[in-house]
Amino acid sequence: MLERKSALVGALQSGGRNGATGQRRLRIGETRGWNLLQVAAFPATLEELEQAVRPLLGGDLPTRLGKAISVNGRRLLKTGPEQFWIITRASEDLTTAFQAAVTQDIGTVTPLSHSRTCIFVEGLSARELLTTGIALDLHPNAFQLDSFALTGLHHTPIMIHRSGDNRYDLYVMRTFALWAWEWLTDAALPYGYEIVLPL
Amino acid sequence: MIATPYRLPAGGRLDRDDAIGFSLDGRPMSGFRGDTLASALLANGVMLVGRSFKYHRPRGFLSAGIEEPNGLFTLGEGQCTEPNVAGTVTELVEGLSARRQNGWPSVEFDLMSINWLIAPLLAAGFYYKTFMGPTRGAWMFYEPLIRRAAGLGRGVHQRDPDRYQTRHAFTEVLVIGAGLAGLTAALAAGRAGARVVLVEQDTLLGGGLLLEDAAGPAEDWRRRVEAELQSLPNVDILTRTTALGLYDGGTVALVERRDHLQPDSACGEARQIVTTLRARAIVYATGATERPLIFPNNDRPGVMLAAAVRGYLNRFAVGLAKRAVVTTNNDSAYATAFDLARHGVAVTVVDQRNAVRRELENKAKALKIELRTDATVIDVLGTKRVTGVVLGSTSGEAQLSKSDCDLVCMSGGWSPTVHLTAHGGIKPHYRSDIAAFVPGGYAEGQFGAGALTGSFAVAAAIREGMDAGRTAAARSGHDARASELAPPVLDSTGYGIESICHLPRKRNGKAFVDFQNDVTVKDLTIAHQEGYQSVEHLKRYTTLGMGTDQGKTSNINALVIEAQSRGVDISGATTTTFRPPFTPVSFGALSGRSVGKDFRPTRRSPLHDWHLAHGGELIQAGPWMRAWWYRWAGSTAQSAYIEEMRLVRTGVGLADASTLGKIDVQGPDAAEFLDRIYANNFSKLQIGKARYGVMLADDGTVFDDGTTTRLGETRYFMTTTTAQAGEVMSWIEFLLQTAWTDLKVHVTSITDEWAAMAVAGPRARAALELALPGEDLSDSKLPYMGCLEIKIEGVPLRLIRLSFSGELAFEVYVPADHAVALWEHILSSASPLDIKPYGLEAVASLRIEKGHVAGLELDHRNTLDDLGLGRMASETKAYVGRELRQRPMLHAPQRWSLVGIECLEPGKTLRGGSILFAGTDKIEGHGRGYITSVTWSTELNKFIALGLYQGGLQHAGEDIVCAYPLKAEQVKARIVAPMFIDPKGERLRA
Amino acid sequence: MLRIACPLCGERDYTEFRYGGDADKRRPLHGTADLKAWDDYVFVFDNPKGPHREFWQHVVGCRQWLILERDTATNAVGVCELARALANAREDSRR
Repeated sequence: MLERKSALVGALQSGGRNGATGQRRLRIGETRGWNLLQVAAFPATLEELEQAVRPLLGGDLPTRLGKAISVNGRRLLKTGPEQFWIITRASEDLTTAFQAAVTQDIGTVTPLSHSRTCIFVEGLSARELLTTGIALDLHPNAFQLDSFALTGLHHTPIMIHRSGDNRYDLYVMRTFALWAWEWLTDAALPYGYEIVLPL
Repeated sequence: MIATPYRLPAGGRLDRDDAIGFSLDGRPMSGFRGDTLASALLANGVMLVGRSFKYHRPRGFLSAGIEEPNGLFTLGEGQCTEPNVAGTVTELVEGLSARRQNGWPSVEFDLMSINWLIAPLLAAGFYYKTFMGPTRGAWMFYEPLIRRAAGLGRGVHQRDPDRYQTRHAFTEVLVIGAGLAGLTAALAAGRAGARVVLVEQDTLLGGGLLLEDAAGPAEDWRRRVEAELQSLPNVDILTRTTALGLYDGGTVALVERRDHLQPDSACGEARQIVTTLRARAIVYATGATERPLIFPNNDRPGVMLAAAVRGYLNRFAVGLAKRAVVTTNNDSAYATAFDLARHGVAVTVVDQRNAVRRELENKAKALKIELRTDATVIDVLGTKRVTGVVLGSTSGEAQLSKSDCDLVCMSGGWSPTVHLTAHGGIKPHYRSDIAAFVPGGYAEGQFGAGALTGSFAVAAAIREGMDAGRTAAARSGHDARASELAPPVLDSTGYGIESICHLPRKRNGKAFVDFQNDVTVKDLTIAHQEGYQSVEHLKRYTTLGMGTDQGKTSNINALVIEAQSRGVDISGATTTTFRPPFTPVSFGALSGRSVGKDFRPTRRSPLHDWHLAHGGELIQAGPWMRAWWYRWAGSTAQSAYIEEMRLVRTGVGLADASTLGKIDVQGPDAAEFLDRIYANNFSKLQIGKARYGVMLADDGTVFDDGTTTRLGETRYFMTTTTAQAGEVMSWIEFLLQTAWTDLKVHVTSITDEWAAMAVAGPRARAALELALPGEDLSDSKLPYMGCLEIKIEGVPLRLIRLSFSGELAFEVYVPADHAVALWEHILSSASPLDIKPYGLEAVASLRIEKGHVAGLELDHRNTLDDLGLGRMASETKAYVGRELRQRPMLHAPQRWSLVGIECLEPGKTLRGGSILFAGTDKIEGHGRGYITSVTWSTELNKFIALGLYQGGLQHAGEDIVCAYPLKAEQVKARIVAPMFIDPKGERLRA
Repeated sequence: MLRIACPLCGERDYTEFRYGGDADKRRPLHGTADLKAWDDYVFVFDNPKGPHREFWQHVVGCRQWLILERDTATNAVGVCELARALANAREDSRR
C-alpha cells in the first residue's frame, strides 16, 4: 500500500539527448536502494560512540571529513566533528540496532534515508559538467577516488562523492532533487546524455 | 568576391582560403578568417567608423585592441543585438552584422554633427551647470533630448536567445597574457609540472609578437613555444578569454568568447563563459598599451596609434596609406616607420625630441624615411579622413610646414596594463625613467613580468617570465629549476622615451585626451580652473575615463596635463581607482544560466507531482512551489479557496504541509535546551504531547513559532515556519556551538526526511479512522495536542493532533518517499466522507478566521504582547529574549498590536497592506496601522482581516477606515477581537 | 572571492558560509538578568578597521560555526577555527 516513490519518479524517463556533436558523452541517473543513517556523539562522548558502534560496524568510524571508507559493504562518512553518515543497502536497516547501542548519554541516531536523493553523473565529461555548478576543485589529483565533500550545487547543499574514475554521486536534498535533475540535464545538453533508469 | 582595396596581396596571419562574408550597415563586405571586424573594415576601405559621443565628430579606429575608444559597433540583429562592441576585438565570423553608432540619419551624413556648432556650450561640467543648479527642473525636460543626442548604441528590450554559462575552476598557476613574458612564464611553470592556466584575450597567442612580420624569425619562436605548451597536459590554454578582475583569495574572473564556434543554444552551447578561477599563484604578463599624442584634431580618421598601424600591416595585411607621418616622443614608433617604408609607403617621422639615436637615424636614412626632430604635429587637415598635417617645432611651435599624408601614426609612449594588479587595492606608482605607471606591488603569491613591469626589452621579458613562472610553480611544491629558452630574434627599436607628454601651446582646434567621451585639453584646463584638481574629481567632472574603454588611452595623459596645470611633478601623482571589469562584459555572461526558472533553485514538496496531476494550481512561496488551490473547487483562486474553506469547516480536507521546517532535537539536555530557546515552558511537556511554542530573538521580539512534540525522554520533534526554517536551524546551531557548549543536545534538519499533511474538518477523525483501520484515534487516546507514533506496513507515521484551521485536525508525518502513497490512500479510503485536497490559500484563510498569527504578522518587529501572546511567556525560567523584552518601549500602550478587522461595507473588498485610520482621522500619512492578512470569511460572509493597530484592542468595537491609496479605495471597517470563529476552541477539541 | 578555510571541510568560497558578526563579543550567560549587558551585546557594535574576529557558519557544508580572523581593511583572512573550541576555552577561563 505505502510504496516508495522517488522525488525523480516523474522525471526519470528512458532516453536522453544528443549533444552538440551528436554524441551522448554522459550517463545520468538516480541511485536507489540505499539507506542513510546518521549517528552523532556529543562533543565529549566521541570515544564512547566509537566503542558502541564498533561491534555493529565491524570496524572503526572514519576520522577525517572528506574521505569515504567502506566497511563490510557499508559506506561510512564523517560529516561533522562527531557526526557520521552510514550508507547501507536498502535491505539493511540499522536504525533499531543503533538506537539500542547508542544510548541517550553518548549520542543520537537519526534516519535520513528519505532526506536525500542520489543522482549520479558518469562519463568523461562528468567533471566538466559539474564545474558549472560546484565550486570545488574536482581535479583527479585534488579530489581522489572516494573523496566526498559537503558543498553546494548552485548554492543548494549537497554531498558529492567520487565513486568512480569518472563517476560522481550527488546526494541532493530531496526537496531540491527535481530542480537539481532539471538543472543537471540542462547543463548536460552540450555533452549529450543518456538517462540510466534505476533497476 | 567583394573588392578589398586596402588588402595587401600577401602576408599577414590570415587564412586566405577562408573568406568570410559580413555586413556593415547592411552593406555586404568580405574578409578572411583571422581578421577582426576592424581589420576587415579597414581592408574594405572603411575609415569612418563612428561619430563621437558629444560633438558627433567623424572618427576612425584609433587602435587595434581592447583600448579602442572610437570604433564601437552594434552587432547582431533583433533579439541578438549587442551595442557598443569594439570592432578591434570582434573576431570576424561568417554573417556578422555590424552597424555604426551615434549618427542620425547615418554616420556618413550625420545631422547631429551640428552639435559641433554649439561645442563651446558642451565643455566640462556643462550638463551639471546648466541643469542641476537653480534651473534643476529643466534637467527633467532636457535629459531625454541630451541623452538621445549624446550617447552610444542602444540595447533592445527583448530576451537574449543566446545561452551563457558560468563555471568554477581551480589552478596552481594562472598566467594572464600570452606575450613574450606570459608565454615564457607558462612554459616555465608547465615544465615544472604545475597545473597552469594561460589566458589570452586575443584569438592568437603572442601578444606583441603578433606585430612582427608573419614571415620573420619571431614567428618561428612563437609557434615553437605554442606547440610545446600545447603538448603539456598540465597546461590549459584559454584564448579569446579576458581576465576581468582580480578578487580576494587569488580569484580571477574570466570571460571566454565563443562566437567563432557559432554556438547552438538549442544544443546548450554557450556563447560566452564566465569562469571564476581560484589560483594559488598568479603571473601578470598583461603587457602595455600605447598612448596617443595630444595635438589639435588628433581625432581625425586616419590618426592612429603607431603600433596599431604596424599590427594592421603585419598581422592583417592591411595597407592603410601611401604617405604616412609617424609622430612620436619615443623610439618604439620607429618600428612602424620602418615597416611602412619597407612596404613602399612614403614616411615622414616627426620626432618631438631634439635628437635620436644614430642607429635609428641611419636605418631611417637607408629606408628613405624623412626624419624631423624637434618637431611636432600642430594641426591635422581633413575631416573624414586625414589629408595632411601642419608641423611645428617642439620648442617654438611656430608653423614650419605642411605635409600631405593619408595616415598619421602616433606614439606617446607606453602604459603598462596595471589594471588587474591594482584591483586588489595596490596603487600603481610612477617611474620617470620610462614615463609610466607600473604596479605598486603584488599580493602574496602574485608576480609580474614583461612590459607590465616596465621591462620593454625582449631579454628582460623572457628573464622575468621565466623567474615568475618558476616561482609561481614552486608555491605548489613543483620543482623550480630553471629551464632553457632562447629568446626570439626581434627587430627591436627600443623605447628611449624622454618626456611623457608634450602639449601644444597654440590651440587652434580641439586636442582630444579622451576620445570616447570627447574630453579635450581645454576641458581639463577648465576643470582645473574650477577647482577640480584631485584626479577622482577631475574624472567625474569631465567624464574623462568613464566610457566603455575606461580611459585606457586617456587616463595617463590626463594625469600629466593635470600635473602640468598644477605645476607639480607627475611622479607624485596617483591614478584613479582601478575596478573590475577590465573590459566590458555583458550581463548575460555574468548571469550565466541563473535566469528565468533557474534564477534560483526551486524546492518542491514530495507531493508536487501529485498536485500537478490532480488539478493543483501552484504558487511560488520563497524557494518553494506550493499547492495554491485545486481545480475541483473552482476555476479561479478567488472562488476555489472559498469552496476549500467550506470543505474544511463543514467536512474534511487534506492539505500538504511538507514545507514546514522540521528539526530532530535529541540529547539528555534537550528539555533544558527547548526551555531556553522558547519563551514558554517545554521541560514539563509530557511524552507524547505537543505544544505550541514561540521563540524570541535576543532583542525580545518574536522570531519564529511552531509546535514541538516530545517523542521520548530525550527526543523532541520540532517544527518551524516554512519561511524561517533555515534561520531557526542556524540560530540554534549558533547557540549550541558558541554559547551553550555544555548542553548535550544534537540537532538535525529533517525537513526533507518527513512529508507532512493536515487532515482537517469536523470529519477528520472519521476520515483517518477509515484510512488507518484498527488504530484508536479517539479523543482519550489521541487528545488535542497529543501525538501517536504508529507503523503501517513497517512505515513509521507520526500523528499529531494539531489544528491550524481551528477545526478538529491531525497532522500526519510520513517519510517523504511514502508521501504520495499515504496521501492517495487517505483520499481514497476517506472518499465516502467526500474528502478533498485544499491548498495554501485556504490554509492561510482558515488561520485568519481562527486568528492564528503567521509570517505576515511575525515581521521581526513585534513582541509577544503585540501579538496578544504575552501570557505565554514563562515567569519561572530564563529564555532567549527575556531580558530585552522588558524594555519599557516594548510595553508602551500605544504600540501597534494585533487586532481583528471586520469589513462594514458589503460588496467592498479589504486589501492586505491597507493603511488604517480612526474614523475621525484625516486620510493621509502613515495612519495608525495596517492590514497584515485578509480573507473572505465563509463563516461570517464578509471580508475579515488581521492587522496591527496603534493601541490594539483598546479600540475594540471602534469604526476605522481602511485606505488603499494605490487604488484610491477607502473602506469602513471595525476593530474586533482577532479570533472570528470558535473563541472557546470547542471545535478543535471535539 | 573570499576563501575561508573550514577546519573540517577545507578551503571554500565564502558563499558557502553565512556571516555571524563579531566573535569577540561575549554573549551574556544564559539567564543573566543584567539588562545593560544584553543591551551592549545586542545593540552596541564596534566597527573596526583592521583585524577582526568574526563568526561564520559553513551552512552548505558541515554546518559548523567558525571563528575567522579577517582584516576588514584588506579582506586578508587568517586563522579559522571551530567556534565551540573557543567557547569551551572561555568556559574554562570562567571556572
